[in-house]
Amino acid sequence: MFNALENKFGRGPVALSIPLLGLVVMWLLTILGMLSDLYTNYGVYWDNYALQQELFHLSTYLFLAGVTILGFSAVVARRMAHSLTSNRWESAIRGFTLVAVIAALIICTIFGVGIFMSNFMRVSVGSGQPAPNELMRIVNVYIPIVLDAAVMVFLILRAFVNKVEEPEDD
Amino acid sequence: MTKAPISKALAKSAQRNLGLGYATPIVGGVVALLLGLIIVDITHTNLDIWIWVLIQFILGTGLVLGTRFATAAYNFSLTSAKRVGATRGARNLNLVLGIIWSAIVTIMAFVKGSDAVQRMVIYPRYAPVKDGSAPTPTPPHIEPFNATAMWQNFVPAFVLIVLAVVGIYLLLAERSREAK
Repeated sequence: MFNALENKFGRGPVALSIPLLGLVVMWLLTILGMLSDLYTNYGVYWDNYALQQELFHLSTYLFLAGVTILGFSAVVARRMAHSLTSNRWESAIRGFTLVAVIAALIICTIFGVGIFMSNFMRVSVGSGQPAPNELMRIVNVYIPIVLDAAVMVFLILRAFVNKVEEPEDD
Repeated sequence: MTKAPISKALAKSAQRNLGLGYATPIVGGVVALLLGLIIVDITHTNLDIWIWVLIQFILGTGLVLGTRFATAAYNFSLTSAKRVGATRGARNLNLVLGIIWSAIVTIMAFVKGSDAVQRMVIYPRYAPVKDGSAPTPTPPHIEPFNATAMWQNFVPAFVLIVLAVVGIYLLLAERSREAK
């Protein structure tokens, strides 16, 4: 996938750049998510949580896309840098890609727990408020948590279990 | 006969590099902090986000240069087997400071980006009511995108994340520079 770039710049610099670019893309998607949140939290929806719950929250999926891209870029870089051990520069890149994978997993965890906490606390049973729309609750809360968990499992398997070019242990 | 003076000169150069490896990040930090204070004292306002970008740029430059000098001194002590001082300590100092700087700039980029988004929300100002009745609550509205908001709020936050990314790349590259 990155063969042309590898041939031009070398495998190490490409492996180092991919998670860093993933971080920039994650920043852009996070800001887009916050912007889309404005239109579900203000205007006619301001201070009306019952009405807000009826809406599709695009921001949740934009945040999820951000952490997914960061995680995928870190894993691609980790697999690319797996065989880089010949000098100090390559070892540093290899170490950095491992840190990037771990950071992506931590961010994924914070994202999943964050969705859970922000939606778990808001439903006050017996408060007299109307019950939230079940379909929207599944779309806005349950599915993102399941997708986030799936991304985490995928990242762990690709980064730590299903390694490439591993010498066989006898 | 000619080898000894060259070796002495190299050792002196390594010692200078070691000193700079310790001093440069500290000098960079002091310059950045003083610059921020001077601007606050002159303008009597909170620091503009662009000033934060400048401060982080100076701090990052100090760390990259510090890592470069410390690695040069470390490489000399490694290849010549001569002790010129605590070269490993200088390298580790710059590594730790570099990690802290990278984390702070990355978090700052997200916080300032979030702040830029929140600044698009305009809360109405309630005029004082003369007859004692409560003012009618008006919901806040979202300001449309404009060039001023983009330049003053969004662009500097984006520059911060780019600064973090470039800084991380350069710090790693300088730290892993091999001996010539």
